[in-house]
Amino acid sequence: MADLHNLLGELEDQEEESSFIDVNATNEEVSQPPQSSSPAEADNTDIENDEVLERTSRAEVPPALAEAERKQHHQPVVDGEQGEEDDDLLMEPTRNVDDFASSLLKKKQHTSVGDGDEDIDETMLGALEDEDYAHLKTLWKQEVNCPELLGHDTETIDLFMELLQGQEESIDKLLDQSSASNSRKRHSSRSVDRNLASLVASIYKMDADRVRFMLTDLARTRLSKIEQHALFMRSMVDRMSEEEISYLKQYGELLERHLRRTVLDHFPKEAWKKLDEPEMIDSPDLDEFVFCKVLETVEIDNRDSQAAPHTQDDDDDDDDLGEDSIQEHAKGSCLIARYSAIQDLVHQGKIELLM
Amino acid sequence: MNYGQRGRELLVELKRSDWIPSYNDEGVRGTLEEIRLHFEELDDQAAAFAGLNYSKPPMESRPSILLHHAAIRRNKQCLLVYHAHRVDKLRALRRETPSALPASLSTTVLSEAETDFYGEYDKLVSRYSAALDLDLSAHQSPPEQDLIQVRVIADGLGRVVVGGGGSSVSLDMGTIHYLPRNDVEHLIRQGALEQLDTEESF
Repeated sequence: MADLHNLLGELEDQEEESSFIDVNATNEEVSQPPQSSSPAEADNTDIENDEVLERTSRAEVPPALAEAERKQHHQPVVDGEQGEEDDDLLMEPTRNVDDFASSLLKKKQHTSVGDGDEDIDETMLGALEDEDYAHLKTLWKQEVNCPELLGHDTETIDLFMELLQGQEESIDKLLDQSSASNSRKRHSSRSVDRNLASLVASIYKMDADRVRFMLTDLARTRLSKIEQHALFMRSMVDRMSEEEISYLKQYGELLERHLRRTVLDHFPKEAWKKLDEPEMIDSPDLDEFVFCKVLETVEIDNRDSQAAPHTQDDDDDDDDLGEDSIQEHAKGSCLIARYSAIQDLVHQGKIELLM
Repeated sequence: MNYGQRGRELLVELKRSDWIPSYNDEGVRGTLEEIRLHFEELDDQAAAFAGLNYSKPPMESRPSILLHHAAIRRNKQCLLVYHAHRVDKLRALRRETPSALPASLSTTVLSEAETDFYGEYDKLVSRYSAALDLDLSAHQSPPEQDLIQVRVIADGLGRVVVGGGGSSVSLDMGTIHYLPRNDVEHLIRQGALEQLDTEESF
């Protein structure tokens, strides 16, 4: 952690620099200033406003900023993600940056002639998206780590597609704002406002990028799972969306046509031309080991469904390799398990898969 | 009569090569031929005791019938795996670089059927990503920075339109640019640009 007092001094000295908006600044440079700006934001006084604005104007999209802000505001993290902050720093706190940025714009409104109503809408939008964003992220994580295809959550995906489009519009609007000149304002605040708008535009862009990445990666993972076990997926049609079902059909036909053309049609006997005998269908490997986290207290993991239940079993009863014992795991514990053992619990939502 | 050796050769060839070897038409045909031979054997055997009044094959001929049958299944499996594996590689290729198949590839390495397959698959995936309104080949890795530094390492790229402003950048060999990630990502994947990390000094 940097020496915040010295940093504050440094930054105040550099406030008068002409080009204090450096949108090209890398993330590493500005990981410290945001720490100091968060308490300033919480104070919410006018005096500190300008300092806060200048300071954040250096930052591009500092993940540490939002992380600190989240800690400041003790925002409830929705689904037990507290243990994963390390790899979440990259992906997670964009919603909060959104919040922060929009609330900054709002404050700017108070100190000089404002930009209009859209900032308020953006703040509200920012607050609303938090849970959904976390939900999308969990959805993505689960899908990536699961050997089989998980259920399709049409709602969330549609919601985010709409959101993406809305964000693109705001980005465009902000970009226009940043390049247009506004003669009403004083010189310094005009350039601040313009630069701030371009800063916020880039924050929005990053955010939209992240959401888009998750959506595309989700689609890609699902598609590759469908393709790989195409014949098996015929039985899992209820987990797919409309487009995926039609994709499966077309892909199946394509593959079958290809194999027939190259191999099967040359076979002498009709009965051997089949592709879908039971042993020929490869199903996803459900015995793969996955990392997982238990979400609800007192979960009973069934190792072997035919075993007699030992209700007094401890976790360290390793003699029989845990093959036919039922183990209890408290909420919050992380395990490595065979996917087949926890499959039902994952579907019920009691266990979450981890990266 | 090789009992699956031809099939095995095909698979070993697959394993040895980097991507996929050129389509071993001869090998495939040889394997199919073997299947036919086994089948003929089976036919002969069936004919041999058809004259007798057994409804089921006699004990002596059972092992050889089973053997031929097993050999046929083995060959079939080898063939299917060979083709499926090549198809998998093609799919992966399409995933990464969503461009048309380079002509060199389609004449030397792939068979005709595979070229057709690639074309059809290409259409299928493009239709799907259009339906979803998401570009499935962009954003292959989580975005870390908005703008990235790239160095041009391939020749003859000309000018490229980048960014919200619509200005164009001339991509001459060896130049270094600072560009929005979205616009240059596909070029990086194709190998035309090289991303410079911040630790690198030049």
